Amino acid sequence: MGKTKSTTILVFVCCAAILGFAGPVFAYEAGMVKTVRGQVRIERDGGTLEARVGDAVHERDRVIVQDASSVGISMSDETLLSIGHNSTMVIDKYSYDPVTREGQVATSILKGTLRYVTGLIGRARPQAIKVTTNNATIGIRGTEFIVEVLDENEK
Amino acid sequence: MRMKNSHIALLLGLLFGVIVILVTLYVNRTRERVILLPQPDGTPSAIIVQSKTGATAVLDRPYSVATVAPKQVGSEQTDEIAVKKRYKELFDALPPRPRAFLLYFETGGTRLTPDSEKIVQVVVSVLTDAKDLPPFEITVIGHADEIGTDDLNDELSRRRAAAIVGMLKAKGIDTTRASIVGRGSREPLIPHKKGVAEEKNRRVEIRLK
Repeated sequence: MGKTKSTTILVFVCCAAILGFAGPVFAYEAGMVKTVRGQVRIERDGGTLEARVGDAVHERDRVIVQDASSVGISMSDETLLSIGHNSTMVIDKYSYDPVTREGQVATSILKGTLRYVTGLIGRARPQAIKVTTNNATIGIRGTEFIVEVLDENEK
Repeated sequence: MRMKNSHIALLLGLLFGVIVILVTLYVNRTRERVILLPQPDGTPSAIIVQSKTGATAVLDRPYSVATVAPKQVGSEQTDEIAVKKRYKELFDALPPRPRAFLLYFETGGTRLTPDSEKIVQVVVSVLTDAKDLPPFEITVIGHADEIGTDDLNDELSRRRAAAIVGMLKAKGIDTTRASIVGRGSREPLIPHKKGVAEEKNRRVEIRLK
């Protein structure tokens, strides 16, 4: 009797685990490159890729935009990013469950300019969104904004 | 020739001093500017900018600006024209905003209302016409009303979404990468009343981005 009971529980746990994994199949594809102008690179796992429209974007990617270039990226939770010329942006953390809308987005802009449009994670939990720069952290309450990193000589 | 210990100490001290000064200069060379933009639907929004030393500024007016240096945060106001001019490339490069289409079902059945059938056609046209633009990502989200268990509603709403994806596929749309999501009864359009079937909550959303 005890044996049957524990077997049943084991089966249920296995099913739940499988369903959990079956859900976010595209979870590792945090986002997609939608627009590219000029030269844009993505550094990932020690390698470099030339970014093209339709390319996937992953957590921990470093996006490097050259002179006279720009890139637009949309994340799976509908966060929209555009990054301007001579910029370096990193996707520090990204996770999103479309069923519960839970997740987190943490990005940094180390150089250049970034336009940030909050997606569905931010609408449900603004605290789950973080943008970091060399000097600051930015917290949001459901918003769009621009961040520009200035050189010492710039006004 | 061996150096005297005191000379070595002096040399090391000098070297360390030089390294510290260089690192400080490099690290503190940037300032940042953060500008709040208005939301497309005009709803209020705000951001909080906090420096590493804890100084903060709250921006809650569109086109308000925070300037951040290592130890301080200042705020000022700019305007739409200045922002769109200086950051034109960011406006041009932003991906298109996601579009949402709501579909409803006939009473007690799995057939779409005639209006919803027309909306499916609109979605098909949008996807077909957009062949040369950035690839559209399709997400189809099913919702259920409050009747039934959470697990049942999750499964039911997912099946509803899958059925719509099937419809799009039958009309020639490539749905291999479409996301099918069942949100169960988590997001009612009309507030739940216990035990009351609410047809407006039995809906499917097609989101294109």
